[in-house]
Amino acid sequence: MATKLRQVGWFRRQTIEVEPHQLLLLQPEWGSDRVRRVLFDRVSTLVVWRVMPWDRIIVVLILLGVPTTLLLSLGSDDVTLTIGGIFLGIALLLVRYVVVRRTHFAVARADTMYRFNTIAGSGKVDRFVDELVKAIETVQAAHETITPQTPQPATDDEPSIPLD
Amino acid sequence: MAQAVQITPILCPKCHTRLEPPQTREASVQCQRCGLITKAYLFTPALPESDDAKPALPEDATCITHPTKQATKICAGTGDYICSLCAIEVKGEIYSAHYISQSQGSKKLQSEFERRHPRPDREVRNYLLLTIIPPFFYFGFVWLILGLIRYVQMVNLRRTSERYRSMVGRTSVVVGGVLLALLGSLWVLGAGALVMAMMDS
Repeated sequence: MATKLRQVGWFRRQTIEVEPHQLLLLQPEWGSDRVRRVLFDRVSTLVVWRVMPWDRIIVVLILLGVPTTLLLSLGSDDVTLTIGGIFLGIALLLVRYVVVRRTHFAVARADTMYRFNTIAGSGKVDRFVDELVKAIETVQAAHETITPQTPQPATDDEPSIPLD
Repeated sequence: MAQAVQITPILCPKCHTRLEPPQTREASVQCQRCGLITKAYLFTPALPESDDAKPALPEDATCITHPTKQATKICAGTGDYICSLCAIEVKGEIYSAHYISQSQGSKKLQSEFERRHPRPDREVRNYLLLTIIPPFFYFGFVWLILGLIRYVQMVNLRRTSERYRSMVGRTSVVVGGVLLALLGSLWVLGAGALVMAMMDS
């Protein structure tokens, strides 16, 4: 089964899926997925890099840090367990973001750059990249076989075309 | 292994500086300006084919649609000789434009040209949410009926479309059905209890 990646942005989500001949970028709507396709035949480069998702880290710190501060300021023993739970949540999320980081992809096809990113484990990302690279190479190799780009040189043995 | 041919220059995704092209198909590249390390893969893109079909010589096979043009391909759908004007590549196969426009061809290849994939499962989920969110749950009967219609569509689509089957698993079908039945029963019971209470008062 093909590896799927999910991109969760501020205002949109996207699912990225590798098919044998194309990359599908699916953007969910109410009752359908908007489809964008990147055909592999003319893909020239794929660039992959990882960065720290600072925006996510800041949002987690605000969303979970503010209630923790409020509960700490109450100073009651009853809320100790709650504060501990929130701290654990913060720690787990931050550790995940620091370890996994955000992986960006840039696929160049015929002067158009398709960019997407995801926060996923390195194993999943590696599997996805392997599948993508293999699929692109297979399609381009098949394309070279079907339609050779270099014309065959004419030999003297071939009959000349009559021009009358 | 074939030598990689670089067509598009690789730019640093962060500062857009032109990166040093890697010598192999797969290499780590560091931007000299911002220091970002990227992994770059180079491919050999197929060059775009010329669209102008050559005129057929007397001994050439001719296109079925354009009898004066030289046939260069064979349609995978009909088996006809076709010229480069008629040839359309779909999923690695060559089809003629005539075959794709026919009902048989369009049925077979429709999914490859669709701009949107139908997702009735998402509609079922949304209608189920509307059934429990106030004040929409007052119209729960409407949402449940709509959800049921979409659920039937979802089951049918799973049966006919391989792509949809790969996107929506069996678990979604079972969970959707159970939730529809459960919320439907709860809504009917709640509405019944409300009517009874009103009649008593």
